Amino acid sequence: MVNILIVCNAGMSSGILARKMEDASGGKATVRAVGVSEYQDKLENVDIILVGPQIRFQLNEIKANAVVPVMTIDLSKYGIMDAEGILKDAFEFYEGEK
Amino acid sequence: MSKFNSVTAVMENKVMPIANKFGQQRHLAAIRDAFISLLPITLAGGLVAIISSPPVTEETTNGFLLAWEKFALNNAEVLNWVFAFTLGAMSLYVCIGITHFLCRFYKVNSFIPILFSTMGFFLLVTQPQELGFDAKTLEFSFIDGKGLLSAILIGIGTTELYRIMQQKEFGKIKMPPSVPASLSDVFASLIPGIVIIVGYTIVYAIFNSFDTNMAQAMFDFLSPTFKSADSLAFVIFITILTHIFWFFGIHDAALGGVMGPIRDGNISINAAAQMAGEQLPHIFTTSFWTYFTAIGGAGSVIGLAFLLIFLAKSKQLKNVGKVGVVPALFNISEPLIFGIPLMLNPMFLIPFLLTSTLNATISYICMSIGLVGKTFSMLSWQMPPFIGAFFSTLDWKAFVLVILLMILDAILYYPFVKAYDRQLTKRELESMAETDTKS
Repeated sequence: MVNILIVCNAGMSSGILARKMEDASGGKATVRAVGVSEYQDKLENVDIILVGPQIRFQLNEIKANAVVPVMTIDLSKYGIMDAEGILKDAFEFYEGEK
Repeated sequence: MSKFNSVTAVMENKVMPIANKFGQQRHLAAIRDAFISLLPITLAGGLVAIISSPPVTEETTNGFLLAWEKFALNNAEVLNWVFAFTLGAMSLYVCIGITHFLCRFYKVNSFIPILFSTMGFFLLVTQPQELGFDAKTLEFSFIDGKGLLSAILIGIGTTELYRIMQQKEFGKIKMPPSVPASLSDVFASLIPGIVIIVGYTIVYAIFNSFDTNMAQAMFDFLSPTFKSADSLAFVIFITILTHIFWFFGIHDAALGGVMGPIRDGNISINAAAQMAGEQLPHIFTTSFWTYFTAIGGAGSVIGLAFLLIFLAKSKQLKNVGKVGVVPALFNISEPLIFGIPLMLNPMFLIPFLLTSTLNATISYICMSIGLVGKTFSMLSWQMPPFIGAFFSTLDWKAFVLVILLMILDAILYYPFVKAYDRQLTKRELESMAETDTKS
């Protein structure tokens, strides 16, 4: 079980994605979406953080505040809400960082 | 095409650092986060402002509206009181929020700094009328949007002073190891606290000697700036700037630390004017931006989404339209911006910048000549814009205006969608032919 936290501006557009990803993972992952102003309070039990591409300018700040791997979500996959593709990227990245 | 790509690459290298700077500058980030956290308070205040403003005239005969008016009149005092401490006390909450979020940046526990900045806020933003033993009366009309600048300065000032003194261990009193940690924390903040309190007392005394207070002075000093921020030229400038950010796929939250105080401050002042039954002073508010400018999110994409669903022959575009239409109706345009994509796409640069700019210009003019009511409430930015436009103004003409603007946006996007669709369809056919010959 991998616990994924998506951080975007207000947790709204990524909220749609989070649900799709959780469904697509077939129980292999939990996915939550939060806004950038509150993510620091939600880091407990998180294994990997995905950053929404629209706030990728905050990647370094988030990296500095987190102890787990942080990656930006691919722009075009985010656009078509490609939950499976993003999930695959996330798992690969997670395995690579472990 | 390749020339455009190299130009955008150069531009992106210029825009990203700006976004980085704005988005990560600790004070601006704290201001932005404070405004985001205000959501439940602005929502409640907006609801109260709406309930207090039944759209009735002398000729109204509709039973529901008359009952609404009666309710509003009978409960005016309660409604005004609730308003005074929701949207009407925005500056107080912003001051607390900035202190909290800035402390979080410095990894300092925010509780004691919040006490000090709240105290500083009451000392400098409110004004005593009478301080007798039996009755204390306070003039606190500046705790709404009018006191925002003071609130921001007090929040930042308190936190900075406090954490500098703490880091330098200024006035730290050595406690024997047997004293519990929580208690020695309190002692550690004793001297910094006294320094901050004395500082605010001096500031109050100085302004008081000039027969004013800090909030009033700041407001008088800055109101020309805020007035110029509520002009058509500024609105056009900020709309284009925001969309240039989005053209590079960067959320305009990067500008939130600067725009929040202006837009949210204006909505708070307008709401207060509405509650008092006076003319609304401002046009450029958060609601103006969300419901009348970026209709369907950045790029004003609602009309575009429908064009894609009904007109696009390319599978990719049709698919993106279907994914993106519902979020767009709730002002979320990321799926379309990243999916079509609109970002870094030379084909869409013109309509992407033009649609929202035209929306803002037309709405601004309609409101300034009094054709459409100005905004005084902000319920939620995820409300379909035509509905939000109605509730933020209680003017049915605002609803009509936004529907017309959505159609205008679709017309502006139309030729570009056609051309891009032709390109993609051709490419899709080619790649299909390729796979056919391969197999």
